[in-house]
Amino acid sequence: MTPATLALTVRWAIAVLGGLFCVVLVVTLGHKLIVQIRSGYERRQRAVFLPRIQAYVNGDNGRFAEYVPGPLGRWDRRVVLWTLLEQIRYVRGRVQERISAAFEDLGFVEEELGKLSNKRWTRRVEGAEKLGRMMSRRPLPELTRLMQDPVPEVRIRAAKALGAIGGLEAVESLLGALRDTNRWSALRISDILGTLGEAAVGPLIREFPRLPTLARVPAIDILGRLRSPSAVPLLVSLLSDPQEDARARAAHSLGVIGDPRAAPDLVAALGDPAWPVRAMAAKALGVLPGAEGIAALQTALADREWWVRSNAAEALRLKGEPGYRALIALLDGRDVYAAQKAASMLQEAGVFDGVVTQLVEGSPRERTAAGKLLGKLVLLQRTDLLADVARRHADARVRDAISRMLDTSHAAEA
Amino acid sequence: MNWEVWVSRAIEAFNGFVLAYFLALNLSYIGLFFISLREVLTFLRRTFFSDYQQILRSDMTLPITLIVAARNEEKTIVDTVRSLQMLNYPEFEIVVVNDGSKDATLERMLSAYDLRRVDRVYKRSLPTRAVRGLYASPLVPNLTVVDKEGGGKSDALNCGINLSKYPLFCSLDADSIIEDDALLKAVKPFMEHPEETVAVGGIVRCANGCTVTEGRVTRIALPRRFLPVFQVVEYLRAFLSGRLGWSALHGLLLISGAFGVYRKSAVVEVGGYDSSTDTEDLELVLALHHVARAAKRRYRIVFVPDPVCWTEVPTTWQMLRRQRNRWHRGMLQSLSRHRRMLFNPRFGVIGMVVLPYFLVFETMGPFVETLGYVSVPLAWVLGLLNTQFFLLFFVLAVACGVFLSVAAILLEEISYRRYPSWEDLWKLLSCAVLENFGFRQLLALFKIQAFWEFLRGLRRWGRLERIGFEKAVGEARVSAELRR
Repeated sequence: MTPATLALTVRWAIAVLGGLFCVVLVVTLGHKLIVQIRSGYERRQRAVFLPRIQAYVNGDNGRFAEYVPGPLGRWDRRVVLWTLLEQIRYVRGRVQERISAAFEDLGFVEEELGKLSNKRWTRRVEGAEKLGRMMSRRPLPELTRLMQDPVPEVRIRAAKALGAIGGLEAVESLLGALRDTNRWSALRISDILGTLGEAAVGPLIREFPRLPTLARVPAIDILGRLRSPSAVPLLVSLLSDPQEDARARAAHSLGVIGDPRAAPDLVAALGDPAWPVRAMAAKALGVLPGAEGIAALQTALADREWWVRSNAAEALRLKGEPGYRALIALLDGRDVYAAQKAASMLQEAGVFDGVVTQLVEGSPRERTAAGKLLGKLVLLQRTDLLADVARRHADARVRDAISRMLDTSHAAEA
Repeated sequence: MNWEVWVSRAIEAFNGFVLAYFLALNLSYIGLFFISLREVLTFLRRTFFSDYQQILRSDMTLPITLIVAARNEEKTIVDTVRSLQMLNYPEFEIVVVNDGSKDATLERMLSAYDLRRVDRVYKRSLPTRAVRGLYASPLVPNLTVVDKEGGGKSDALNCGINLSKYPLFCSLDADSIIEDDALLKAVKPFMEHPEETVAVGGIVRCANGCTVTEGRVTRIALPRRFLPVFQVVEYLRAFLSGRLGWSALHGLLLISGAFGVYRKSAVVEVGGYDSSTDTEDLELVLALHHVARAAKRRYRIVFVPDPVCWTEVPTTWQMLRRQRNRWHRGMLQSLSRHRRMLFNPRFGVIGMVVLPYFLVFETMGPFVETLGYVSVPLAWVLGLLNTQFFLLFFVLAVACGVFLSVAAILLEEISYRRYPSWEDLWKLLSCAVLENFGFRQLLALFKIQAFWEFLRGLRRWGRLERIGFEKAVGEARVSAELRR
């Protein structure tokens, strides 16, 4: 390459780069300027429109145009749209209906409906999202159709809109969408179904036998999250389902619902051949009210699977006093793991904090009992907590008593 | 032919090489910028109606363990944990690993949270130095503090992984502050592609000059001094124009150690953080690529430009030198360790594009750049280069640097606009020009020094002296007063 060609190349490079630089600089500065001008204008207009919009929303009758006379320019329409969208989030009933009517009057619903058939998926998403927030029932058929959109994000937004607008047709199309093969959509849709409350329980129970295998597990989760006692019989029957995942999630959902009627079946599930089912059953028993299942949980602490043992110990801790007694009984058992885990649980529950104080403040009988209990901790070589108490407890008598106990144990070891 | 002719030919040839290298390097940067621009616009459209609140409310959101490795962080640790407690996320636990601190890091935590010693059964999936004690707080049930023998950041993070109970973990620096919604934003890729996503990185921004109140960045402003502002521009370029582009090409090589979310099982599979390199974050991501590509597994390592982590950047040249020295040395160590992937088609875009790019431009770049600073003026002095060409080349070099920085500022302006004032924008634009006269050249020299240390097998952490967030507040106040 000759020097002249080189110089020409560099000149061209500078010219191209200079052009790009100018474009980038102008766009940067121009964008900032427009954003600031627009946000300033919108702030001012919002202050003008807000009292009128609130007067309309709180008024008994009259159309929106009587409160905010038109025609509105493009930027003003945007201000009104966002102010109304903001207002509708916090209201229900008649006020909500009046805002929905304003969206219709101003043609916003029609505008967004048009976006649902746009070629760009981001526009369809925008349309579905805004229609969901507008709470108008008119777009329900279009939103239901949108549940077949090839783009998962569009399906999710349509589901969200259907969930927000509600109604039986929305529940049915959402149940249909549980068959979605995209995992993210299925999760989001089941999430949305979970927010519908009692209205979704009946249709979901009816539809359940017809759901495909993939949709059953999210459906079981939704039944749990809806926390309806009417789902308990179905969930109990699912504890003997051939599908392992279904059994495990059913146990989990029964725990979430917290209906004590499920306790005997959950105790039985602790003997399930699949460890995830046993682990979930143990966890669920922990959150059920009442002392039922404590003996079974004690036995589960000797399970061959770590998660089951861990969940059983945690469940006993959650049971409160009766659970603590069961854990204390495990401290001098033959199963070393169970004893160690029980000690951990009791320690995390703060049981030993009270026992340590009893060592000096309790009646003679309580002192003996406290000494015995702490002695078991020493035997298990879990002296970290005691050493910490011996160093830092506020009461010098407690520090002395624990130090003596630890010294005796060290001497015995020596 | 006498020696003068040989020398002049050699200089000419080298200058031709410098020009070609320079054009290739900048074309790749410009290409990455356009890819990033497209990504930012798509991302903004996708998140225009963010459903992060739904993720927050959902029972199906994956729980996360936040692991904070702390060594001699008494100035910032309590603020950091306080900011973590305030995160918007449905279920998370905080594991602070005190990695053999010589200062009062542990004592500060003990008193601030009324920590009590506990015994916990946990699985030691990764080998670490001995744990001296575990502490839990009755005030904050999801907080665990681990006191262990000093073993370095990798060791501390591995210890945190062992103690974590959730399927995802987030590694954090003790001097960093993450924004309230950062976890919600970072977890989304895991929810969208649960089987494939193994790691997600967020953007790291410079906290110098910002006002920090109770562990939160409450007022964003640029620092007063030029050196941190140069780094603000550099971070924008690296994250918005670099990592975003690489992520789009499925070739993201680095998730900053200051803020990254990982799938625990994938990290345990590669043996956790490796303490044998100086940059454990780069090494981990490379190892994740290596193992997944070798096993022909579908996986995703992505960069999300929205979740923000604020961190202090060096305020003196000496601190900057130490930091950059370590980063570059760590990169060389990792490239050397994973050289089997280099130019190996089995490793796809990583083996054929990303690693060769790092080898040719990141490793050789400082040498070519520095030698170019010598040979081009030398050629001009010797009359081998005419003045016009010399000046043109100089203008081109500066214009490229300025364009890339301004392009990164544009990405920031059209997307997140964290620096809203005109004053800050002018400051960023002027630093985009000024950094080409000294700052960049010094960075190249730091890298050459790092290369030399790498060859000698030197390893050192290059500790960054923290001024602490209270002082950062002070600095912000001072700068506000000066402006008034």
